[in-house]
Amino acid sequence: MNDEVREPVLEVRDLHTVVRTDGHDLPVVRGVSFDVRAGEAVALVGESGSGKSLTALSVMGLLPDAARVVGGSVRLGGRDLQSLPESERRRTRGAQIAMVYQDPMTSLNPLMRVGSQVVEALDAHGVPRDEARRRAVEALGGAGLPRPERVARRYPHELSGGQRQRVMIAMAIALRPTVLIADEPTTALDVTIQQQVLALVDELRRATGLALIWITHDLGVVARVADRVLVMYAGQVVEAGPTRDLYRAPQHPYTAGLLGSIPPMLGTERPDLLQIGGAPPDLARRPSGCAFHPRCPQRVDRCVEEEPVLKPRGENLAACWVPRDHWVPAERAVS
Amino acid sequence: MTDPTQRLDAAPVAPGGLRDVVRGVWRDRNGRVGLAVTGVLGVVALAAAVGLTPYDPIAQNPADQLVGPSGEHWFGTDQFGRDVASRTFAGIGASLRVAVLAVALAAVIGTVAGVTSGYLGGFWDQVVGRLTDVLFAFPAILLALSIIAALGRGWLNTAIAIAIVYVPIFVRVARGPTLAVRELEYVAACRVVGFSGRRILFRHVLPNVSAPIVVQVALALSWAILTEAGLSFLGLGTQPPESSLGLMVSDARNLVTTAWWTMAAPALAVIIAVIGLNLLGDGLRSALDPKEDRR
Repeated sequence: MNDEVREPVLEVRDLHTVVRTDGHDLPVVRGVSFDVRAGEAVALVGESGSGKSLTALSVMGLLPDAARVVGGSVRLGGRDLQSLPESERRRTRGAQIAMVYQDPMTSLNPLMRVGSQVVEALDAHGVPRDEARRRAVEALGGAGLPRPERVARRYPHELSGGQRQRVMIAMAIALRPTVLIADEPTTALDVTIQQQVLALVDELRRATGLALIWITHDLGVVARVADRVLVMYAGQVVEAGPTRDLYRAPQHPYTAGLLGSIPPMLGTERPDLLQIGGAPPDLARRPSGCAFHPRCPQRVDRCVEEEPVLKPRGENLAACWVPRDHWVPAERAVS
Repeated sequence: MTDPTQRLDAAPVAPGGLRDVVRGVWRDRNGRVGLAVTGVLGVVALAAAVGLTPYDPIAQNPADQLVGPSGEHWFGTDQFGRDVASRTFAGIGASLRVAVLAVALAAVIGTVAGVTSGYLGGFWDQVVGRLTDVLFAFPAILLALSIIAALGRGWLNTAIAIAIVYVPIFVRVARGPTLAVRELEYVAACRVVGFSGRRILFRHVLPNVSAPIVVQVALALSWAILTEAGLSFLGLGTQPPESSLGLMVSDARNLVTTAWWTMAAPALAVIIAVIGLNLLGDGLRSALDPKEDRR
């Protein structure tokens, strides 16, 4: 999709994050690496607890108190964010790297007009009030809200979920960041609104050259927005590759399982839904070898003993000992 | 994590300015009475402060000693022939001055301490929490008395004493909802756009925990008036020749059998003020509480 090689806007290298529980450091992100270029959309996919949101928060520098980054680097426009003092890091948030997330119902201050909240975001980054007011209305319009100067005077409770999510997006793009992290921003919305928000973010990305990181567990969404996909499992990237290749020929049984569990469209010829048995591992009792082996239909002895690393497989990178052409047909699940 | 009794997130306080709050209080029957009574007292106090009383409250008039209530002197005169109504109005002014100053001090200090301790947590929260516990450990009146004993008499020291007694209450009232609001997503969203801690705290957290604080202000004012009256009655608060309601009640003790009106007027004023402010507090509570039905 991206024809020429551009400098990545965001480079994440070998990121390790731990959460402190009961006096132990539990690894929740284990050596995640990826690049995002301007105008490119990368999807982080995984089940709950796979570490995708904590990866995003590590990049933002907004981890909860119990969590901390213990290794690796995050470079934004060539600057190592980890080494910045907190006051400077704070200035990058919103201005260079923005985030939109899940619940638009509670993401806005209920006591402030939404326009003022966007103005506030600009003001916090030193934009003069008059200009901030103009740019806020502009951003609300840019987020696809009709008659933005009227919407600006509304309070959050006067807006619908979709409208609020658009306000959040307006707030995120008002400062013209280079990177936008979208953490399941469509999960809480109606399907039709979801489609609109997807289309909006996609359009903004193309129009402004935003580097987009889309975090989701919904592979249907991924197919629509992402150029590349990273599949995460138990804090690690288990497969990465261009969206089309990854969908056509997944190289990791987990990816294959996720794809098999998408309900087929009417009239297509996939008879049964497949499901991945078992549950994601308890991070405190991580399985030996490959973390996915207890649930893997393709498991061989080596998977239990030795941890696979990401290696080129077909068009993708995958962390699996068993090549795709050695796979046995997955068992049919009850649907 | 979050205290279930402090679920402010479910239905946020209706946004709006002072006008909406006043309208909300007016819709509540108790609130309407409270607002009217408090308003009248405020006007009387302000008028007395600029010298607008029927008679001069300190001018003695030996010809008219201990005259009963009449059209000329609404609450009669005292043993020096001073107009009791005028003195009561001046006393309301003096009592309100102490109460307002005390509550303002307590509300500002207590709210800032409570909101910051709830938001920041950690060591600061521990410090504020322990200091609050210490202050709570003393009975209110006893604490006020000992503070005055340390500082000396007078209306300013009385105000400071009352403020110190009330600070821990405001700390608690501010801290609880802060713990709930802190976890809300829009506060996290503020961090995502790169707001500073101070901006988040005072522009986004404080307004969302202000409802119970406002209610507490009305209730604190009523308690402060009562305490000021009590301390002045004991001779520790406002000192003569200045006047206050408690001082007047105290002066009237020996006269009450011969001239009941000298005590009735200031005592009635205290009662009306306390009831009025409590009703106002009720009204504010139902106007600001999202869970209460508005109609």
